[in-house]
Amino acid sequence: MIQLDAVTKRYGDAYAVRSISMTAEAEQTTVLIGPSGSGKSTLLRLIIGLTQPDAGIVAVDGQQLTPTNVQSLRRRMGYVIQEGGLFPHLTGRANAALLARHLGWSADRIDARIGKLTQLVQLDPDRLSQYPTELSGGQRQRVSLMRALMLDPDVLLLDEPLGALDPMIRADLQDDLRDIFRRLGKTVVFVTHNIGEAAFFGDRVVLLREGQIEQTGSMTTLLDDPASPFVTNFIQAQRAPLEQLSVEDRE
Amino acid sequence: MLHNSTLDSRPSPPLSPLVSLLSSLLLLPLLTAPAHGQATDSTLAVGSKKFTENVLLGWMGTHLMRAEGLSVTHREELGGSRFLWEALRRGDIDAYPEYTGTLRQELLANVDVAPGALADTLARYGISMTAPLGFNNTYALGMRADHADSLGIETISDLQAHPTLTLGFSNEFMERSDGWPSLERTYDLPQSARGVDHDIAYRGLSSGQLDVIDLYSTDAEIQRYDLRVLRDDRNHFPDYEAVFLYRRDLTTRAPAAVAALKRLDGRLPADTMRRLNARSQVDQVDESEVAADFVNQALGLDAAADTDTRWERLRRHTGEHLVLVGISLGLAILFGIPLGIMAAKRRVLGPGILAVVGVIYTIPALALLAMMVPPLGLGRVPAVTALFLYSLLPVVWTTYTGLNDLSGPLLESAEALGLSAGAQLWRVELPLAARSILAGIKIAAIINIGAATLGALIGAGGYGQPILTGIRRANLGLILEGTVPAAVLTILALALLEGLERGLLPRSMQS
Repeated sequence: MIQLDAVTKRYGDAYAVRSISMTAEAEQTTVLIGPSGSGKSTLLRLIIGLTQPDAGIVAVDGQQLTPTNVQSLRRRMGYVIQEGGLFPHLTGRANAALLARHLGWSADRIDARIGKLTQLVQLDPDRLSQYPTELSGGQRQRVSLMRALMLDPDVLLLDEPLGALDPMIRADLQDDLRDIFRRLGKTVVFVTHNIGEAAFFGDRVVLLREGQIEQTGSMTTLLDDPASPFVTNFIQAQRAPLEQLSVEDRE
Repeated sequence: MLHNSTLDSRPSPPLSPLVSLLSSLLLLPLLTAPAHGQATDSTLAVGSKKFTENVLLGWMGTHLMRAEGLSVTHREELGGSRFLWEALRRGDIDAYPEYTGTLRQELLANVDVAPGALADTLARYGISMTAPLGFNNTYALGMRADHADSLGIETISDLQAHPTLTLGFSNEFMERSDGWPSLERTYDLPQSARGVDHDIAYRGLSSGQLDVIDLYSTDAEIQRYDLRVLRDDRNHFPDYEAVFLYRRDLTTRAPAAVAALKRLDGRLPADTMRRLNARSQVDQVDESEVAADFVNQALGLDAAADTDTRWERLRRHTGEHLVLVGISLGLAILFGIPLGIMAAKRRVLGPGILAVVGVIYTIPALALLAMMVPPLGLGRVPAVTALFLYSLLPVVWTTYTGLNDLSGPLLESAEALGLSAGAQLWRVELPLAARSILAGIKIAAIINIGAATLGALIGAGGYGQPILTGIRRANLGLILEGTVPAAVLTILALALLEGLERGLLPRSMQS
């Protein structure tokens, strides 16, 4: 479980996150959604400790993030970003195994874990000896997910992991990801600006606007019982073109 | 050339405390291994400056000491009077040929030396000098002998009666306080003079365009062009009498060495020295041989010249050059990469480190070498220290920029993974910056191999030695004997580093 209590983050005079309190429940997928600059990526970076709050508390499984425990807490969280963030000087296998090797895992243990993860993310094992530049975008994200899952963390943090993929691969990977989240029972925080993705993944959806929470709830709640005109507008902005198209089709 | 060298008049070095500290830390292992020709307890060392006459005198001293059964090395062609003076005082060398005028005008310029008190003044520095060797290598005026005869000119005063003569002087002579401006006054000369390049002046003289030029009184060209040296009948020019300087403690340490040097007292009148200079400079006979022939004939020795074949020399110089480059480049990598990392990681220290290595690099390599001599003496240690400092910049800067230019998302991925700062640096950042760092090492190698040829000026040997001799004797063959292997070495070093790059870097990181 991840808890944020009155967390504020400023860059100069501008608030990236303004006194946000929220909880990401264990074994559920919490989707952070909102327009650019609404603070959703900053929230993720606060949780993994890449940036420190100016005020408020971030806690993972009841432990407040501090400079002394941030490293050990990070090892209990997997982090995947848009382009994967794979290291170009390492093969897919070496990327996935980097932290385990640093922690002194035996080669057998690493091989076994890699084998299991390769099946889980449905990656062709031959791809693992290739470097990131030699992989397709979808393959890169699967390797990136393997790296995040290597130590079998309780928490997965994903920052627009599908944002750079073309639609077909994206749909493929969406299915696989949701399957993995459910099967492994991970606590997932998923950042996207795409309403469809939020509806697809989110057990709970947190809609952000200018560093503050506009509304929290299931997608159905946001649709049926919007807290403000902004919620409706944000959702409609992505739905309208499709609906117009289908109305015209029907006519 | 003889009385003036850019290296001789440099101010005291501002960096030397830092330099001594650094080098004493870095170069301890080197200090235990004496360089080629370095004086050890049982071996004496004679030094000489980088012009023919001084090298000849150095060899004479060496042959004479060896005739006494002493073990002596000759560290020839060192960069300037100041280097030899410092080296003598430090004990890197035990003796070298010097000129009284240079002592008074340059080395002891700040000391008030009373006439006749030169030896007493030197004693205060722990240095003794022999009696004059016999010639006075001072500025002089010269004419073609046949021309002087036809006009009946023997002294500088005689020029007064011939106002139509054309005078051409080296630019330095036109400016020097004891040159043309004061000479004109002393002798009340009616001619005007123009500045010409010294080498061109000789040609102007033989073609008849010039009638009178300035020269050094023992120049080989006097013989070659059959010139008359006009007597300085009003004693205008200061004396530059050749003597040997030696450490006072030599009298007790190796009295035979002092006795050997003293055998040259008065044995070298100007025309003899001129003849020997000509044999070496005009006939291209090796100085060691010319000096041996002289001491054998004049003093009854049976000295043998040190004769190396071209291959032996090449092998020795290659060995010396490799040591200079290998150690200094190795140290530059060993210290440059950590310094570059510090520059990239420590916001407070960073700009300071970059500025310091930058400033070191702006010092010309020659000056940097010169700065090493007072604290470190002659030979390998100061040369390696200077080359090390000089090679730091490319390594430090490329490490710094390599690390600084890494993409933010990659660094955050490493951090978010839960790697320690050290593991991040070692497993992610340095490998990603490796190409940039290797490029810096390549640049450092190129700079280093080139700059190491200057090491010969402070007695470190290497490919610079034949280049120095070649320049001095205007011998293209000798110059190529240094420059060609240096170029080959550069190409080999780059090929080696390219191979290393292919071996070390994963295929995804190669160009």
